[in-house]
Amino acid sequence: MKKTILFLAFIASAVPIFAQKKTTTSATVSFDATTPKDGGPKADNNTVIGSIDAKTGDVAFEAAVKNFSFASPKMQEHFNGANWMNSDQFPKFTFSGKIENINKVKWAKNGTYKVVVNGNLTIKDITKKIKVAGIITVVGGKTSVKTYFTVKVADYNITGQPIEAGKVSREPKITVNAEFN
Amino acid sequence: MSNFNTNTTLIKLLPVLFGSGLIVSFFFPWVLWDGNLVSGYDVPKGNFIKLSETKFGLANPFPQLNFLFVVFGFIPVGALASIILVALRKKWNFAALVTSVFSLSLVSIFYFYSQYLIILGVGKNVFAMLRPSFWLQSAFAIGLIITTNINSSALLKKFAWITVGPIFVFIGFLFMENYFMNETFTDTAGIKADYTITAPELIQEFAANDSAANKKYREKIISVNGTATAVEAKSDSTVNIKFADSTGSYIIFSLEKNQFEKTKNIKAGDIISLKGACSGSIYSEILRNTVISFKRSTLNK
Repeated sequence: MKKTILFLAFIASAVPIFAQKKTTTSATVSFDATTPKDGGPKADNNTVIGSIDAKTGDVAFEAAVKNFSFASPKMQEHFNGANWMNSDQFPKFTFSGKIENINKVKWAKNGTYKVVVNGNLTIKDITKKIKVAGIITVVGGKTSVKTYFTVKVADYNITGQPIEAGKVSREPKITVNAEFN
Repeated sequence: MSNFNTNTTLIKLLPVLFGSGLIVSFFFPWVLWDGNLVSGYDVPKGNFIKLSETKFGLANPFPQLNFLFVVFGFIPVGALASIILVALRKKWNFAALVTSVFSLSLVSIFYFYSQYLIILGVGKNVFAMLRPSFWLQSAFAIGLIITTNINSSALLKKFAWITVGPIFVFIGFLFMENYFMNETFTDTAGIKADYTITAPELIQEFAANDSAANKKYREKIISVNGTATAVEAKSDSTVNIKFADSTGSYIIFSLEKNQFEKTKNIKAGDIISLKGACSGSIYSEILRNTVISFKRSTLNK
């Protein structure tokens, strides 16, 4: 009996730690639309908001479109402009999804876990289902998430002469790096 | 014999016809850009550059060269001069050639500029933007060049006169594109802030009127003074510094990589001053609060 109570007490104290929704305000999302013809169109956003629910496997990310930082002022202007991201009207990229194999991840144990995330990516109010492979790393109680995938610009009605001319990739690579507390 | 006479009369009439055509079509719309009809005359008149700046956000990167637009006002003047010279049976070839080169250069400017507007998302197709007077102007200019020195067979020379303007303009546009695309942001540390404000004041201003604040601050360089509430150093040696208020709304500065050494010892609670390019605010559904973000940020001092 005593042991059971002790055990339950232990569970009760542990649950808040493990079930807690982890968040970050400093995830990095990089996108790379460079082509052999043009090495310019790429940018990083270091202030992406993310959350991961260790219990349910729910994952969400939000990135301010305007905080993608380019080397070239003109490219940044084009990226935010009406024909591309139209960031005045659509200020955020959002992703929300679920980790399929969440039970594999041992949140309290150091290790690297391959996961698959199914979710919705919303750009300019257009939502598309995507499935991405990710890696969750747990080190000393800290969780980090890495993923890499590509997005078809045509899925989000993004077209234009630079894409036709091969100066902007039709399938930019997206890299996500999030370190949760 | 009579046939020969008709031909010579016609040949004399052609430059007059082409010259008049150049004058008339100069004043009629050449293109339709996002609901704006623009004629050749709008270039020397200054409407072209004004429209470019206000409507498409494309200011001339070399404003000291704005006077060059005025010289295109020469087109109707030169065309008129050619007609008068023909009528006076004076030598008119040179005036006609120069006028035509100006005309074909301006036509090319309209063409390449239309192409550039498509990159910006104004319209989808260059040819849908072009109006009849664009084609008439081109045809009259080419016609005028062909009718000069009509009896000489220097076809190659005429071809050179026709292409020199467009080639020159094409090179100019390539140069501009190269100039624009290779230009990089100036280090924020060297830029004077457009605004200096405290962190609570800035959060308050966004809370009070989010759209007005976004309009005012987006893409401006702002210095923000306040007490850091979190310093988030990441394994890739990038640092973010936050100023949060009691409601959880916060300002976040993403610091330039070269700021790592300067900022690594900053802790929550330190009073600091940061400068960066404001990206405006978003409302976070995840955190249920307002987030004002900054990029290309540096520590003041």
